[in-house]
Amino acid sequence: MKRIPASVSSTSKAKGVTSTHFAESLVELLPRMRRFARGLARDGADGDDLCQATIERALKSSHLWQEGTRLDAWVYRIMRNLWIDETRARSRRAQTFAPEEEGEHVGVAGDAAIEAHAEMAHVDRAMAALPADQREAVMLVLVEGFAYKEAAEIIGCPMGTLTSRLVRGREALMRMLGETA
Amino acid sequence: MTDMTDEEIMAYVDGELEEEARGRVTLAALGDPDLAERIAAQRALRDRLSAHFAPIAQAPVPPEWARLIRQKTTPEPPRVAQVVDLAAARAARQPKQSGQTTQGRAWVSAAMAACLAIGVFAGTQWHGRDTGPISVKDGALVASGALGHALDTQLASAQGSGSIRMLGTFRRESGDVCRVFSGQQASGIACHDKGQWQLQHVLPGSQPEAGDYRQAGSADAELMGLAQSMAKGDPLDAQQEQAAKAKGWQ
Repeated sequence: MKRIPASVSSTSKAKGVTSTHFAESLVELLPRMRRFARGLARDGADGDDLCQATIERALKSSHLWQEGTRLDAWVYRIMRNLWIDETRARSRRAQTFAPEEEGEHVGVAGDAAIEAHAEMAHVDRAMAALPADQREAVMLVLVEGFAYKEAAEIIGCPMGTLTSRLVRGREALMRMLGETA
Repeated sequence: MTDMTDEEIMAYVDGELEEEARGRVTLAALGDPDLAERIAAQRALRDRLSAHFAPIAQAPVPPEWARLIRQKTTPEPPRVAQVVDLAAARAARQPKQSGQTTQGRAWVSAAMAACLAIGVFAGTQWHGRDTGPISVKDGALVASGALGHALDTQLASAQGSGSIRMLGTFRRESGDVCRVFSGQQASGIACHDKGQWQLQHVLPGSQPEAGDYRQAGSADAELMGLAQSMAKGDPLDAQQEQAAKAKGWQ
């Protein structure tokens, strides 16, 4: 299991006290954050590491969140940016070390009970095979239920870019999952 | 055959079309089986993905995450700790069952949340509606009137300012949804069975002590202890509670 770089998970310096409202809203979001993290990371253990790193970053930056704006979109943006940093760090590592573990890593579900279910493993494999930008778009819109405009804001891309990633991601999923969808 | 791009079909399925464009696509699909099939396939993909990921968001999250977040917030007043100890002590007296250790923490934190809640007792009275809170049907005590309404509509995760508060929601061994409520006239536990809320436990209610505010008392802690002994697994979280409500508490 790989760790999220220490630079993003250090919370030794608490910046004052976070408001109870912020904290409770964040606690309420945790199950959804975990789902999105799992979708991005394609792996239960990596997903949980990503989720924890996101919580730490959100707590450190809580003063940057503006009351009255959507906390979920704000937290998801933090999470996908952390994940991009992490994947870049991993590909740098992969250039140094032989990338032999990459193959066994793809499509491995962390939760044995879920993995045992053939249908579920099938969807996991199809999602894992998507390019990261398409997977992210599919997760935000089809799984997390964000509107195109909101998803584009979270990713930080134009609407047109988001919709074309969605179209391509869906085509690929349809192909991989077949007519049985 | 209607000329429609994948992108348009996708936007239709994702609810991104304006009402007028949406109507045009629906109309076209009615007369074009190919188009209807393409729409159905896109919709099935969306349903399949969201069903696939749903269990992750329904599973309990690692408890240290919530601890990590709450550590950073305003420290709680010391008297809360006593109430929590009371609930914990009561929970400890319950016979140990398998899986008790993992579900214990969630129950203690639910009890804590219940104890932290401060009810605002103003406006609507228990008897605000035309029937009393409890009636007898076929020999069973069932919730009616304002209490029945509160059990049907109020979420424990989103407390309003009504005179009845929901302290928690859980499932008992049979799978029925049960809810812990607290009010001025009575507090208790009601389980949804055959379309009505049957009262399992009723305790005297908590009259407001001073002014309109009060601290939730030991009756609430006692109820949370009872709830834990009745429940199968952890209390429902906010999302699960919302989902149960949407399904008519089935």
